[in-house]
Amino acid sequence: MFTYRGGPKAVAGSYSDKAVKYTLMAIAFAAVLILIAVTVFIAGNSFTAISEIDLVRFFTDAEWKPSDGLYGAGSIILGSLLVTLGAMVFAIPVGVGSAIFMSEVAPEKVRNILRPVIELFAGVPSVVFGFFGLMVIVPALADLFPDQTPTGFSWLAASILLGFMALPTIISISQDALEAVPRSYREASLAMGSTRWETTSKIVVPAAMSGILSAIILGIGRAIGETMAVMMVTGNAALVPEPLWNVFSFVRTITSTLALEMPEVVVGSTHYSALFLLGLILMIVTLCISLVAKHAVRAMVEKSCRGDSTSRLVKLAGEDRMPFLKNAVCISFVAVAVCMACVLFMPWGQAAIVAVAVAVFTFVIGCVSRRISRVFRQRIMHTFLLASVLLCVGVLVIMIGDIVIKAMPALSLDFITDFPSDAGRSGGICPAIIGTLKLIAGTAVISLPIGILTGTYLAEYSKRGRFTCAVEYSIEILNGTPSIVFALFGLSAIVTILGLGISLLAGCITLAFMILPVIIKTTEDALMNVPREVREASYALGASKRHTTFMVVLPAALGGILTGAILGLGRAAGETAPIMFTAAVLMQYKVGWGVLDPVMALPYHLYYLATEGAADPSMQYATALVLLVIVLSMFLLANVIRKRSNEKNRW
Amino acid sequence: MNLKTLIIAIVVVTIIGVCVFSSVSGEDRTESISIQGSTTVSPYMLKVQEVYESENDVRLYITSNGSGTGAAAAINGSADIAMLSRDLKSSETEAGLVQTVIGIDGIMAIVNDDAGIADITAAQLARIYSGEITNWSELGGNDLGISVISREEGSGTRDGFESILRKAYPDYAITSSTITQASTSAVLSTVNNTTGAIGYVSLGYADKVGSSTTMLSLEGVEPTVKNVQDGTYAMQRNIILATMGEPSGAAKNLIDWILGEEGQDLLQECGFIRGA
Repeated sequence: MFTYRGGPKAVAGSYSDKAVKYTLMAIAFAAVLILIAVTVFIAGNSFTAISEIDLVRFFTDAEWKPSDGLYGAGSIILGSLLVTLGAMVFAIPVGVGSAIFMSEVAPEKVRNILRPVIELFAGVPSVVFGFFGLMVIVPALADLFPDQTPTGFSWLAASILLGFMALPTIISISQDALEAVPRSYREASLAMGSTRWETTSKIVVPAAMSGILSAIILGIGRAIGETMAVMMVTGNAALVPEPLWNVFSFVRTITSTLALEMPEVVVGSTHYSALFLLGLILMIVTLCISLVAKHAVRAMVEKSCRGDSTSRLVKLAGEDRMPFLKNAVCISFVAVAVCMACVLFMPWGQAAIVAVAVAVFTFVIGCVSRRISRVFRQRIMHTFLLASVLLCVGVLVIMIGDIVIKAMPALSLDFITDFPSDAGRSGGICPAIIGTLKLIAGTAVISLPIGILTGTYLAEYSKRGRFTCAVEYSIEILNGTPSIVFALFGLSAIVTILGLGISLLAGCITLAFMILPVIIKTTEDALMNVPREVREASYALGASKRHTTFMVVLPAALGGILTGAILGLGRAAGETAPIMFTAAVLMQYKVGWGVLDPVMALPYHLYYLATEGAADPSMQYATALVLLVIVLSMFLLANVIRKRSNEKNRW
Repeated sequence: MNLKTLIIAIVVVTIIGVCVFSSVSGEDRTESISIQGSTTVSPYMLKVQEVYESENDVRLYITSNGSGTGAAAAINGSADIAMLSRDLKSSETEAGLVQTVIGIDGIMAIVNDDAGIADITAAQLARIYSGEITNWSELGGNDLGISVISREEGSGTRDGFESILRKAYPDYAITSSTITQASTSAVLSTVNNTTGAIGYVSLGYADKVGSSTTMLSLEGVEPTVKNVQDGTYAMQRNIILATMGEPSGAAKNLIDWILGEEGQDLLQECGFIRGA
């Protein structure tokens, strides 16, 4: 990522320029204060726990029974890590494979269809995923593996679900990274006689590795912070799996613990504080992951940027230096993995035999693969890549198709326009739809001005200094913070301390805080993608900085900014946890316009129907479908805007 | 799309925002009562809302995230009334909450049909939930592992259930391998769909129990409204509404209505036992 901040920049000269600069700085400052306030709030509330609980036992003990004074969070923290690990094991190969397919193999027309489809996946609200997991994945596991998991609730169910939720992030960003690799690299490689697969695997992918790594990190962040979906499918038992890799075991994650116990806890008690401590740990873990990633990425970029193109290319296409050792390691890894997996189904003896057999098989394949023709190898690999994409798209189609089909009986004009009756068991969902739309509007009003202007300040006016670093770090932390933490913040700070009560306003503020980092970041990125030449041309023609920024650069970056805004709002529309504690009520028979009144909202209503049980399951599906339609149309809008602005701004 | 359009868009959005915000001041807002608390009581309160709102010019705002939250919300003022499926704890009464008992609810143990038993004692329940009994055959049922299902820590239903278990078996300590579900309906559907499962729910949900679920009788006494009423069915707890200080104003009117004929009839329809 080449920061514009390093290069020459026009200084804000005249008074109006300075006025603009300081206004923007003030707004950016306010945004940072907000971001810091959330962090400080969480950290501050954990203080009691830190001072009263033995921290060593907090991390190493596995018994979490706060009512008995036992605060062993080891099993819960482990649960979060294991579920994320499982999700990544699944999501990384499928995700990167799909991205490679879409970027390197697929023809243009296919790519143009696939990309929006995958991004739609990103728009599916987590409660809909959770619903799908509860209705389909959990019973399926219970049927397929009745001995290992009689109920179906398991680490595996959560990992599968989270894997699918993280896929769109990984795929989109990896695809961007792959497409950014210069064509000259590919052309040079092909010109020297490599096959397309060899070019892809030995040149393009390593060159894009930094971007792919970023994608994976963001995917991990998405998975580790997920609350609702995980809570519905893991069984929520705070156990350490026996043996450690038993994917069929119940687990409990940090996010589920927060969601389950925070509503019940006495404010100010040790238990309350311990829950905040768990939230703090989650934020720190997410921050560490992204910091590590950033450093790794920077190191890789520097390493690969040293020297000119030729030497870089040669380095990328380097020879295998220790083939024997590498192969031995691979085969033993496969053997151990197979053994571990089999132990879940059969005694150690049999598992060991199977593992050895698989190891031999892998060795044979390895030998044979040296003999296959390069073209044939390419066909095989391309088939695998196609399979990954088909898996993603297939699951998406099945999920949405399932919802559509089962929603049909309940869908009607009345359903959308009527008020509910009989405690939600019949009637319509009109107030929930209106409530969701109100939430989106309110969140936009609060977050867009602040976010876009802060992003503008960071990209155009600020110098690399402590303030900028503080902003970047706060954005980093809050970007990875799970929504349940924002829900806690909203409940404690906005609803209780500020005294707004459960209201539309409290919900909008909480949601705005939640998507603020995304809006700031996308605005900044969009602005930095506008080439320097545009600004320099404007200054050369005599325009002031203010004029350049607002009349030339911002409009050019508008596509990216709006995309980010719509993606952020789409996410806010689908969130359950934040509104559950700050804005939503179960049922409304009359709807008013006051901002201090609570609202019904679609995600909460879906969660309520799914867990409290409406008499008619097709009503649950119909609600899910309406929510999906609203969120997905926002994402489609984002895609249309992005495409049009990309066409206009062909640099 | 150029800057002019962007400015117009922002102005429009701001105007809408201002309109929305201005609706806060000036208009006389209908009175509202905010009610938070137990997921067991909320179906009843939702029915009350439907009837009460049509007869009176008041709005009821009901959220249910658990008995403990309801109490906390009433204490810090973000709710006018808290609904709980247990009596107030001493810390809650010390903070100023006052409870009004509006009904009584039984707790029944339910198992999946394939467990093969129809009766159970409190001590056996305690041992199952402590993890000491792990197979239904130990209780005379089928040879099937027991899947233990519980509610989350702050649930009023769980509180009531566990206090009875503790009385019957002082060494009771809930085992870590229970599946925790966040609501009554979740427990109902999990027990119905899982082999060998056992769970506990409010008696008021007796008509929502699934087709593959058996409601266990406690030491020979069946879980029916009549048995709870005459005290022979031991697992019962109070359904209460709590307010900061004695109820007053709109909240008092609502509570009086609930304690009156109509409210109590509705309570009985929901499967609870009249408290007044």
